[in-house]
Formats: sequence, structure tokens, C-alpha cells
Amino acid sequence: MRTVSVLALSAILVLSACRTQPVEAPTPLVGPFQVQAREVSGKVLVKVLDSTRGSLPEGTVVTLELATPAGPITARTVVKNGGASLSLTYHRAGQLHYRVTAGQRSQRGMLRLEAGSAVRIHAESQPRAVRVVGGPRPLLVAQPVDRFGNVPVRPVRILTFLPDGTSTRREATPRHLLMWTPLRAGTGVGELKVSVTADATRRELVVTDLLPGAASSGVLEAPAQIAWADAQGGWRLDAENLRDRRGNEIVTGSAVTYIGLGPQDLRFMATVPAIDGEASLNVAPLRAGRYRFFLQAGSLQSARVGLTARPGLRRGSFRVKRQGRVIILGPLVTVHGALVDTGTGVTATVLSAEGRSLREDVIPVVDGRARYEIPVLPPKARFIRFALFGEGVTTPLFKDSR
Amino acid sequence: MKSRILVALMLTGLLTVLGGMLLTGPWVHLQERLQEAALRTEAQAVIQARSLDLSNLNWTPDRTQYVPPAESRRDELADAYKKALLELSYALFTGDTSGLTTYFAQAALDDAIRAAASGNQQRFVTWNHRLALHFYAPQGNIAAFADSYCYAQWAAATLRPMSGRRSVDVVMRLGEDGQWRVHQWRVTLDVALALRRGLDNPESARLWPCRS
Repeated sequence: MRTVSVLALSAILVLSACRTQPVEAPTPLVGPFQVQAREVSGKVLVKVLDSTRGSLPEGTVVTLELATPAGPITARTVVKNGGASLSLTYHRAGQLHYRVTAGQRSQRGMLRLEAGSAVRIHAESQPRAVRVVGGPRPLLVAQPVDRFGNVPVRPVRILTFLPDGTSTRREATPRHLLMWTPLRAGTGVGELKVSVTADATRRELVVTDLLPGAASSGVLEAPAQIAWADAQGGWRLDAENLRDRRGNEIVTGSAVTYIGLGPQDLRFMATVPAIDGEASLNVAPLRAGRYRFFLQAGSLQSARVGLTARPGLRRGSFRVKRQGRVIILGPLVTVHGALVDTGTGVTATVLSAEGRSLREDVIPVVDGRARYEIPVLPPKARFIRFALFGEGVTTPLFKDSR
Repeated sequence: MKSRILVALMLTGLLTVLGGMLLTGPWVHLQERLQEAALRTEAQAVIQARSLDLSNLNWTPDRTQYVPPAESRRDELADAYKKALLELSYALFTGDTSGLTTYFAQAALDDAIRAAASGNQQRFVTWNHRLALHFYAPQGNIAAFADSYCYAQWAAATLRPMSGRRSVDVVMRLGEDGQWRVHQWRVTLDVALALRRGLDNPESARLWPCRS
């Protein structure tokens, strides 16, 4: 048993011996030294020299430490022949503080790193589209960068082309790693093109849409003043010359609302898109009488246009024929001499002796005739009135009028 | 007696085989895993201390002539910047750079990766951040601001920290994923600042007054 434990112990000892770490030698005392630092194409080069012979003992570890916005970057070497040289790749433009440490001594210094020439430029306009009638001006935001992502503090060349063909040239320098400047948009509609370049970068073209404002002027016109209320014809209502306050045609697709007022408190509203500053709407009246229409779009409210709708049914067309409890109307003929379309609704209103409306039905026209089957009605019902296209007829409910 | 010697011989053989296995494969692996776990625990302490450093990261009056951002937008920006600095401290300490791309891009990302690769368990402490907005894009996707703060850094190679007070111009952009990232920075001013003995450690450096 003893043999076993001895063997086990020795094995553990062998294992643990494998894990011990080497011990560092104590650093020798270091005297004053000189540091020469410079930056050559993205490399920080540091030379360390002894001030007096032997102030930098052979083999002393020398450390170069950079203080960057991202934290420390270090390099180490050892003294050879009374000196040492270190180099670190570092590209960030700006102030760079460094420290050289040898033994118990350290020395701090500063380098000023400059950005190289710009190789590309990032540019955009904010917002991408503006109205030419006022409001905020578009802002050009640009950032030229060199090979390593530094922003050179050198002029950015800005060439502006307005839609009217004029162009202006100017320069602006990035401050705080960014260049921003308002653009003059002018009053014309179209595209504002801005070409941005710095050093030898490719031109970056920034396009801003110059859009017209909301409608502020326009007219409503109706070529025909009179229409028949026969569901066939009607009026064409033209909205023309829809323009913003600078006289630009409003954007295609802007909403134009037609508002109509008709007989018997009829109110009517329809919204259509404007195309090239114009809009059109066909309206077929179903009631005879006076109508008035006007437009609303943006800040525009147009003058009113008065129109007349005449009865659309030939006079005397409402011939009434009875077959028991069924009333047959027709043939119904329009003012143009045609039979009324199948499916057109004839309004049938049941009236009391005093003329009060008791019930209203809409019956369809089939092959020019309408058929009304008298339903079960309240005892006060006496008359019935049929109306279509502004024409009407009132007749007793029953021949033997109770 | 013979059987005893036989058993002893067999045990010796077994131990030799086991020892060999431990020395090469699993033992080394286990050691690495333990070290990693220890480093992660330490990194957590580092991040906690850094959160304290950055607890008073504040905005000072704007230096912008354009429409100032809403308070919530400003907080969003400062919060993203704070998180970026925390992630940077983590990367510098652990050497794990995988999280940096969430908070840094372009030049600043290059710098952060470069610094994290420069050494082990590096400490970079910054405190008393004062932010001043220079530009905030109307669309809310670009911000340029100046940050003045005190810093101290402990590289593994040296014992005494390198410390100072500096001003940095920073440009952050809002990515398409909705994350603000530090894109560019530039040190515009750096002044050496010696920490008093007793406060020259990463946990208490923030107690040293930092006035510009």
C-alpha cells in the first residue's frame, strides 16, 4: 500500500511542477534619456537614446504607449547599444499623446497627426424634397474622408445647379468632422442638383426635389350649363389652372374636392386627383332643379358655378294602368326618345289624404315599364306618387278611391 | 507479495497514462476554461466600475444653430455613446472585439479593434464627460458633438497610468438597424493630468477632480 501512495504522490508532484511560471529578473536602474518622435505615413516612429553613457543599461525593456481615444496602444523593445527604436502603426488624425517608459523613468510627448487627402466623400441633402413656396431650406451634409477614415480639414467644393439653368460655385470646410450648409433653393420647380467634391474624390451628386406648394388659385368651369336629369348625360366639371401661390402647377396627384349643392338640400362631395394642374369630373343629376358647384384644394375655394337640370322624362310618360292590386307605369321614355334603362329606380311614395308621406319604395324599370304591387298599407293611405328624372305623377291608390 | 508488485506496476502504468492525458488534452482545456471564466467575472467588475465613471455623462448647452433635438433623442444619443464606451472597456480588458461592431463603425471601429488587440487586461477609464452638440441632422440620423473628459489608461506593460484631460470631436450616425454608432473621432486637445497617489487605480480615478 505504501508503494502505491508514494507513486501517486510523485505523479502529482511531477504534474504540478509542469505548471510553475518563470520569474522575471529585476529591472536595472535607468538614467535620463532622450526621446525623438515623428510620424511618417501612418507610422509613429520613436527613437530612445541615452543622455549619458550607460544611462540606458543594455537589455532594459522600453515601452511606447499611445493615448488614443480608443485607449492604450503599446509596443515594447529592449535597449541595444545604448538606444532603442520603436514603431507603431497609427492613422488617426488629431493630437496624439505618447509616453516612453524605460525602467522606473518615463517621458511624455505629443504629436499632431494630419489627415491625408480625401479619397471619397459622403454627401446627402436633408430633407430630400422641399416646397418652393417657403419653409425650411434644404441642408447639405457632407463628409470627405481619407484612406484611413480621417476627415481632412480642407475645403469641400460645392457646385449648385438650379432648375432654371443657373449654377453657383462655392466652398465650405468641415468643422467638427462634418460639413453642413444650407442650400439656396430658388423659386422654380424641378430638381436642385448639387455636385460635391474634395481633393481628388469622385463627384458626389446630391439631388433635392423642388416641389410646388399647395393650390391657392384655380377655376371651375362647366362647358354645358343645362343638363337633363335622365341619368344619361350630365355636366362635365373642369378644374383648371390649379396653381400654388408662386404660379407653379400643383403636384400631380394632389387632391381636389368638388362640392355640390342641389335641390331638396342635396349635398354632394367628390375628391379626385389633379393631373398637370387640372382635374375633371362628370356629374349626372337625377333630380331636376338648380345646382351649385365649387372646388376646394389647399387654400383654394373657387367661385360657385350655377347649373340647371331639367326633367329627363318625356312629359306624359307616366301612364298609369291598373291590374287589381298592381299598378303598371309606362312605357317610360326619356326626353331623347329612348326607353328608360332597365334597372333604373322609380320612387313610389304612398301619401295620406293630407299629403303626408307614409311609405317610400323604389321599384326597378324593366323593359321601359315599372310594376308596383300595392303592399298592405296603413288605413290612412290614399294616394301614391311616382317620380323619375324630375318628372312625377300623383294618383289615387285605388280606382274606387275609398 | 508477487500480487502486490503486480498491482503496484499496474497502478503506475495507469497513473502514467492518466497523467499524460491530463497534461495534454483535457487538463489544458480545463485550465483555459477556468481562466476564461475568471476573466469574465473580472470584466464584469470592470464594467460596473465604468458604469459609475459614466454615471454623470451630461449635455452642456448646444453650440448648434439648427433645430435642437428633442430631449428623448438627446438621451438616446448619449445612451448609445455611453454603451459604446462600456463595450470598448470590455473589449480592451478581455480582448473580445465581437461586440464592438454594434457600437462603432468606420474609423472609430478600426481604432477600437486596434487598441483591443494591443494588450491583455488593459484598463481605460474616462470620467466627467461633458457633451456639447455641434450638429444634429434634421432627419435625426447624424450627430456631431464635442466631448470633454478626463482619462487614465493602464497598459499591461507599465505600472503607472497615463492620464490627461482631453476634448474629442465625435460624429455618430444612426444605422439602418436603429443603432447609433460612433463613426469618427478626433482629439482636438489633450493636456497631461497627474493623478494623486492613492487615486491612481482604475476604481478610484474618477474621484480625482477633473475641471477644464
